[in-house]
Amino acid sequence: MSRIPEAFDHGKAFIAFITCGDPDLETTGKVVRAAVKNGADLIELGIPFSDPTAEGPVIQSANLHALQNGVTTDRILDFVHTLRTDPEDPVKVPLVFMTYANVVFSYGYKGPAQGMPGCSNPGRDMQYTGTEAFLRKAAEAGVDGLILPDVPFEEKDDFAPACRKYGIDLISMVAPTSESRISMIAKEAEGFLYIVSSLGVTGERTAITTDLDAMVRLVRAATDVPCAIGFGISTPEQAADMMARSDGAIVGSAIIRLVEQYGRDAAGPVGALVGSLSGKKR
Amino acid sequence: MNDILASLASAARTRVAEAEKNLPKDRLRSLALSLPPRGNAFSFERALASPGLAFICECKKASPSRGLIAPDFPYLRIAEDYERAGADAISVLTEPTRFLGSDAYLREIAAHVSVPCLRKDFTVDDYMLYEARMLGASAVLLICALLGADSLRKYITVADSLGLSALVEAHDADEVRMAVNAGARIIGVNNRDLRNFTVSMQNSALLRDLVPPDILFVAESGISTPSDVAAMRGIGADAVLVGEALMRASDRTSALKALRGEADSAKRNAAGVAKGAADAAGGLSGTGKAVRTGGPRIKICGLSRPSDIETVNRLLPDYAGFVFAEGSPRTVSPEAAHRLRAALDPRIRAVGVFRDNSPAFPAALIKEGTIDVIQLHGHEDNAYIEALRRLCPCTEVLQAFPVRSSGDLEQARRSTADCILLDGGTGGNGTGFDWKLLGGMDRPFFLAGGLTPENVRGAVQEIHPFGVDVSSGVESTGADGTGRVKDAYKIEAFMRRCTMTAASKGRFGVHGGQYIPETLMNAVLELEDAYDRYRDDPAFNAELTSLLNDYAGRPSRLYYAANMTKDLGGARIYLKREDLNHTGAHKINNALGQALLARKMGKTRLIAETGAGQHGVATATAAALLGMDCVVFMGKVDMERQALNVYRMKLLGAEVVPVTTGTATLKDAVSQAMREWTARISDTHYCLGSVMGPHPFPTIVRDFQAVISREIRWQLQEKEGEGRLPDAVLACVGGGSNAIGSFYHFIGDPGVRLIGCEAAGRGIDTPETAATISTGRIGIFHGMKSYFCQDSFGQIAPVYSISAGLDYPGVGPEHAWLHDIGRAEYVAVTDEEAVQAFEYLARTEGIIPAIESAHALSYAMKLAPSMGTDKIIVVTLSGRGDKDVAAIARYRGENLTD
Repeated sequence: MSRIPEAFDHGKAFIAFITCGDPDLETTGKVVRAAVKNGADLIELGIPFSDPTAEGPVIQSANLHALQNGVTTDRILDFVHTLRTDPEDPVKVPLVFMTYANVVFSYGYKGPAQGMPGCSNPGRDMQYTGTEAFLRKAAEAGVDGLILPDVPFEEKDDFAPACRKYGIDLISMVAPTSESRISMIAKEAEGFLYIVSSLGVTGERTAITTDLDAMVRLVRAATDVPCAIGFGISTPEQAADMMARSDGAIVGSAIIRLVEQYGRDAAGPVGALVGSLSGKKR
Repeated sequence: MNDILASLASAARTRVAEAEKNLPKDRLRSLALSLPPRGNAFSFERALASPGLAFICECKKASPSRGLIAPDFPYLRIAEDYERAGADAISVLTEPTRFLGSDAYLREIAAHVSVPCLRKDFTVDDYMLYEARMLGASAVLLICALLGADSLRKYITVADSLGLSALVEAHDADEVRMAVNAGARIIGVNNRDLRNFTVSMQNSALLRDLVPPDILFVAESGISTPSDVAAMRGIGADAVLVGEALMRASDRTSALKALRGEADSAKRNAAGVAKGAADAAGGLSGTGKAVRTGGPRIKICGLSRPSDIETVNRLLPDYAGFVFAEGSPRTVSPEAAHRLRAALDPRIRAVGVFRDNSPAFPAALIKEGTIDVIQLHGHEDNAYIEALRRLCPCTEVLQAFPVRSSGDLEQARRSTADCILLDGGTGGNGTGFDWKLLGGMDRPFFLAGGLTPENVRGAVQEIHPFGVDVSSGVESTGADGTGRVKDAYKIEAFMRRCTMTAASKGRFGVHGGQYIPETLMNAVLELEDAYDRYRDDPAFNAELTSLLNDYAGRPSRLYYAANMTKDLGGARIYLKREDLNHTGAHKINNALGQALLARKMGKTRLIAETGAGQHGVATATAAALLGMDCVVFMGKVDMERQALNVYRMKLLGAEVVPVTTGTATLKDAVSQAMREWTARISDTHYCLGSVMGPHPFPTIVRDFQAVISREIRWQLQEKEGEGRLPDAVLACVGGGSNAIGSFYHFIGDPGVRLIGCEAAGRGIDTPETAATISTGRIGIFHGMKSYFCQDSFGQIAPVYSISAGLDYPGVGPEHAWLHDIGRAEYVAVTDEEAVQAFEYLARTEGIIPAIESAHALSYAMKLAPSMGTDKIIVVTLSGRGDKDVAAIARYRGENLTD
């Protein structure tokens, strides 16, 4: 059982997204703690990917900077472990990794460039190595959930069995275009359901025009798992509105923009932003 | 081989030799392959795979063992009778010497009935398979005793390429093993001993256990009474082939009804139609090779409420179970079951579950039509089953066995029930057992006990049961908070998982799939539906063909490169001149196809990625022609390398958006186009330029580019004589669209080497390369599972090639699969080699090729001298080189200015 339900235990959840290693992991640690202190109930930790196809310009460049600064999946796994086990101030809120399918599927590959000669199915063996190894280490580090924006419902069985094995919730997403798919997806939701507020990629938006109430109604009819809305939320009004309509709000680009702006000194500004967005500074 | 079989084979060889005089094999093959793809490919095996025992009814005038069977032979009426009586398939003898058959019978019957037809003949040459396709057959007979293992395997592959099912006939254990090893999906065991033509039903029974449960089993010959049919049901046959018994009957309809059990026939008829339609909608994977025969049979057990019936009527599992055994929370009375049954869709077979009742009880329920199948869940023995069979001879009996240890399996193995069910508990308590115990079970079985929507996929993949049975695993706590009731959603999820194991969509081996954000899923599903609708639509195809011919200038020339051939001194070289198409590359084939499809879907705006600019120009052209808006995403680096094409796109009215992220090349352009698509879907079609991305793109783009190999086939024969195929086909591979287009119609010809030429950049031992298959490994990116250049953490590697069109870190999933199975070879060609070939062709033949195509040319220059002068190489010149002139000049240290 993951810790994710705890995030929704005390009323509406505020979820902060932070790209790991931008500008470095030490700063990421400070930013995570500042967010938690200022009311974040759950932290999404982005593992940077070279080609983040679901991200807008702000998170794209955070991914790029982190990779340029030499962060790797292994270093991020170690980093999460230290966050969880810090003797002074361990981070206790649920932590969820957000990354892309290939980061998990191809994790930690060591070996020949191709499948074994004569092996009719070279993909299969490697698949388990990467995904299994990643999830085992993520669970050991203290991660509770995994979001893979390029893995829809139909393909989730590449990852779901290993997630289940290691007690990590595979978070499902529904989008404004999902329509009749919402019930199907929600019925199998674990941890929480990520409601994508609008079309397009991540990034701040002045207005969200989707009929979110209708989406939430469909979700509620299908599952007891809590749902949180993300994509395009940057103001306290928007955050409050989203939390009123659902079980939580997810904010990413607005936080990352501050990290990009303040670099190693981002913890203070991010803390202030999260405080104003979450409305529940601790 | 015995004398009769030998003489039949020899007669068949003579027939083929005669036929070849009129129509050479290669001509026939290209005719057969060029028939439009059929929606009903592999319909024969789908018909056999539907629930219950299938009947293949035979039209034959005579046989060596029985002589003349039907002196007057109104074959069309006979076929009609069979169809009306509920035959699942019709077997038509075409062998003329001893069976007095004729190809004409098959052709007319196939055109006349809607059930699939088997060409029953003594196949000794693949020529006969192409004939079968032309005659309208859905299946062919391959007899192990006539064919070696190699021919058998080859003919199965050829049949696959034609959408024909192969019924592989075996007579003994060695032949069954040979059939299994050759990849047979349907194995028929002939009960007739071909040495003396005596019939023994034991033969099927003895050999049944050697055929794995995922292969369809057909019992042939000697089936003439309902008890023969029951016996074949008893051994778990999927189908019986009935010939003489029906041919000699005065009333064939009644005879067939009697054989299959009267009460059964009306329902089976309905089942056949609905099953066929459902399969046609989702049956085939993208390769057109892997066949979904429906996954395991699905039985939903313990239905007790009217709402349960509504649920299963909507979802159509194969079986629905009513529990009559006492003491279960799901027990229903015969009266209640009767009412539920009346509401049950007749396509679902009703199973009654009993525990230690007197045989008269289930027999009465069968008689009054409450149930179709009897399932025994107590301590019944074989004597009990015998007693049941006396009461209701044509009823399928399932016997359940609890499995706690491997010892329990022995008892199950000895059961004379038609099929066994292996249960982890005493039934319905949701406890599972160690599936690994079942590894040694050598007869088909239903897996039961502890199955849930979550674990069924793994169970099916691991142990391949014949069927799955679920009850408590698809229940939830009822609305009143007490008791457990069937949960419609869980049943749906369970069934979906069962079929997902059989064929995940759009897969080429392990490659392909749909790895895209949820936001795009409905867009991609909509595209899939539209393509399924229009791909075989005559009006759509006529419109596309007219655009390709009159606007784009097809067919493109197949040019014999005499100077190059002479200079290299080896194989004769032909150039497939895609560079002569309108817009100067093969890309227009796909762009026109997709633009037309998008317009049919009501889209008004096309977006596209482009590397070298060729696909961008093609899409902008198609958009201009069809009056659509167009936005092209292009890496900033590529825009500098290909300034000419950028300006061409602008002239054509397209907006060109520079992409500055990542390496600012093709992969970043694809990422940006995908991002744009997620932001604007309703009026926008993403016109993907290569055989990559999420399903259905790799299939759509391949089909639109397959025109290249279709033309090569007939053009080469015009020049080199009937039947001549190339010895090798070469094309450059980035994503791989011109290559797959050049390969596609030769994939079924093992004698044709298929060689894809990747861009090695500065060398495959340097990081500056784009040779994905040579240096990459399996991953998931841009919507697909395939090979990618990446680091040990799965970060996509920056790739490099002088060619902007090949500068991509992945490769289309079908190429990845052709590589895995060894059907195509992939070689790497460096910048320097490609530039030399670029210059060589200009000098030698007066043709300036695209630098992409020069990669294929370069390998042809290496290959040709190593081959004899009687060999033929076809190289696809995917595009023309005007766009590259400035870059090549720079490469050679010359700076061009206006």
